[in-house]
Amino acid sequence: MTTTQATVAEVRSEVRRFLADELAAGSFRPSCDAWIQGHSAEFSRRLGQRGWLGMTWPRRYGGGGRSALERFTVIEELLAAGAPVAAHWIADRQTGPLLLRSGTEQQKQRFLPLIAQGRLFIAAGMSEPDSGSDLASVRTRAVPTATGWRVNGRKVWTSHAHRSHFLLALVRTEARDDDRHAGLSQLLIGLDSPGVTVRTIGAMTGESHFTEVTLDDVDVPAEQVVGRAGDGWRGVVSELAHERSGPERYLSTFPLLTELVSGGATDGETSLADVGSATARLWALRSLSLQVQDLLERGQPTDTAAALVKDLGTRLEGDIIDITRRAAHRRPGRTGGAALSELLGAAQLAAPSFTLRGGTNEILRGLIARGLEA
Amino acid sequence: MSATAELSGTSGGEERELLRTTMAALLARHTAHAPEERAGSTADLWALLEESGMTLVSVPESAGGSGGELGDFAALAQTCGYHAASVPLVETTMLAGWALAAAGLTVPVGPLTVAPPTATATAALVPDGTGLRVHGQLCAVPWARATRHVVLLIALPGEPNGVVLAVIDPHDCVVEHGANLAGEPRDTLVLPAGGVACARLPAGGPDPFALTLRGALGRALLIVGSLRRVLDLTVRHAREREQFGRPINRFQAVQQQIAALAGAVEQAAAMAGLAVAVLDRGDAGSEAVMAAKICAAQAASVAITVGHQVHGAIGFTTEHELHLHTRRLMSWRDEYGDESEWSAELGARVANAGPGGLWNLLTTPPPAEARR
Ligand SMILES: Cc1cc2nc3c(=O)[nH]c(=O)nc-3n(C[C@H](O)[C@H](O)[C@H](O)COP(=O)(O)OP(=O)(O)OC[C@H]3O[C@@H](n4cnc5c(N)ncnc54)[C@H](O)[C@@H]3O)c2cc1C
Repeated sequence: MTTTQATVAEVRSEVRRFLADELAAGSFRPSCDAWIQGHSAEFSRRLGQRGWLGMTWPRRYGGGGRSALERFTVIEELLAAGAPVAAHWIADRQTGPLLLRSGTEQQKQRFLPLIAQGRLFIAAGMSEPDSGSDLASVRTRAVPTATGWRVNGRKVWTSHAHRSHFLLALVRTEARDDDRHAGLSQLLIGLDSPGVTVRTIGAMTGESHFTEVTLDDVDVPAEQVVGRAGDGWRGVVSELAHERSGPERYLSTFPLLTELVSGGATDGETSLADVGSATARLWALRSLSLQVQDLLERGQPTDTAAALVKDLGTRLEGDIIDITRRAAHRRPGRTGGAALSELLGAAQLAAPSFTLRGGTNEILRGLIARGLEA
Repeated sequence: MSATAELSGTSGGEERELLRTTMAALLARHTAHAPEERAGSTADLWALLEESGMTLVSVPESAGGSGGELGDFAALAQTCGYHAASVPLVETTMLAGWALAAAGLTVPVGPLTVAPPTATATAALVPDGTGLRVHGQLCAVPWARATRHVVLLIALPGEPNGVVLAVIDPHDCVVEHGANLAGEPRDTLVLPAGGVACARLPAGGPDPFALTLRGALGRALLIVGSLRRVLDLTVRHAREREQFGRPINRFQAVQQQIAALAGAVEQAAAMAGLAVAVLDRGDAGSEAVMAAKICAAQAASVAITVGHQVHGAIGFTTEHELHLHTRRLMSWRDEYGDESEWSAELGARVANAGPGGLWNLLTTPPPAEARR
């Protein structure tokens, strides 16, 4: 890695200054799980202006031409502060890199600069009512037309489709044969296209980022297929490696831990020991996550390592909640309580999703065990 | 009904079973017709329960209750938990009804509640002639807005065993709405400017610590009922949901989790049943109640994790019933002492009990005797 420590330190203090100013201006309140729940198009645009989206992409596509380590530094600072980054999250984290790897020149020119400006948001359309863990069983179908594809089907649990511009949908373009992974494709579908209906679904956290997207005879131009038609599974797998290894997989409840240790609710040997043990695990996970970033950067396989980070990280996120409960004896509140109670309440309600989204821990552990055999 | 039927139907005779099934039928019918009640409004359901004579079971007839043992009430409380019913039944019967009856007073009709001892930290006793008045505010009083009377017990500072009781009409107070994570009312009552008159209780009456213990047991009973529902929902979902061409209950990873959930549920139910039996026999039963709340809270955490994990994303939505239980379990496990507070207290008692103290605690009385 060529990035110098000095560069990283400079980036870090720049982000911290920015966040301090934003906090002072009241543009956000630190919250847990902000990379899913904290949706602010305005905030995303400000990050785009600073050059903090699409940071590692080539400059000719509107990217920053920066190193993976610099990007990592920016996103971990944002996550640690509980900043609202959900609007651009999926486009910046997975769709952009996918387009860079397998998109056409025209797609790169059309989409990447807008994503990097924080003006184009993309939702991930993988899951369906009958296809969760078993993604290859998707039934949404696209059939060829004179100008592209006609799509019919239903996607579900699609985060923020009601606030995004495109859906990257995994669809079946050829009938299933023995190889379940063949004949799938990824299409970028404009969410304002005729035939698209988006319904929001209430989550038990009290907000509604979940949606159900119904695709009813939706026409998608041929130039919006990402990668080769029929080769979509490969794209999904590479997207998932990006999706699973980042610092969002162990920092979702970090603002809670910050509040706990700064609020003096940690006296007593047990709670100090708990905080110490969480610190050690966080430290190790950050190091692991950095190693995976490095592998990704160098185009090395990372499926197993990314799954490992997600399994370890999401369990730590949940444990931080228990540690706080044990230390603070604070009734979790919804609103109007002390900062710690509110963060604790929100974190508890969000926690059941940590070990589901992006692949359940059971599926991930299967992947890890098989990866060790390979 | 339960996936662990072999273990569940242990306590109580035919009468208790009848009480349980009547209550279950009332709640099932009501919650199907009025699902919004589970989100917080209680009046209709309360009226139905009162009409059916379900609201003062275990409160002595001499105090205006319907008599019966705590075990009878426990069956009702668990049924409320199972159906996520939004009613102050534990508050009315097991806490306010008990406190008033134990103080030799008559229990008024209508929904009641108590100010949990933690809620009185922001109130003060002020001498008034020969008596005392309570001033200030009471925080996080369960169901306050939905009740007719709030019963308050406060220990007299500097007087061992001295306790005063007040019965407060919420209509005389400013009621600031609050809620726990499940949306159940936990209101702040701002007492009237002149305060509220308190009566000194004779020795041997109810006291704040006994109230806390009963509150903890009440939450444990609700938790056990809710746990059984989560287990039932989870077993059913795992049987019906297919991935990779088969029901997910055929995957070992899923089976392991469901087994762990069933174990936690039975452990919690057994300890809650034992604690109820100890109280029914007239023993103080503090330690048994602490153990019941510890097991219930631990099982709640297992149920939240496993229930959601097995349900996948559907369980994370408000369109599925699971969240009604999750959010209650998250709240109830912390109310009237969370598992780490009670574990520390129970651990201290055991450590101070001297040689043989721990084993004596576990074996007196033998569980079979406790159940008569
Ligand atoms: C907050 C949140 C945001 C999400 N956002 C998106 C999004 O933006 N886009 C999108 O496409 N999806 C999204 N999802 C969906 C997510 O990817 C799925 O929930 C996940 O893949 C699991 O699928 P499922 O919910 O259908 O559960 P199921 O696949 O039905 O699994 C249920 C249970 O069975 C277990 N199981 C299933 N198969 C096996 C097996 N072979 N071996 C062992 N155990 C097994 C699972 O581990 C799980 O515990 C989101 C989910 C959440 C909770």
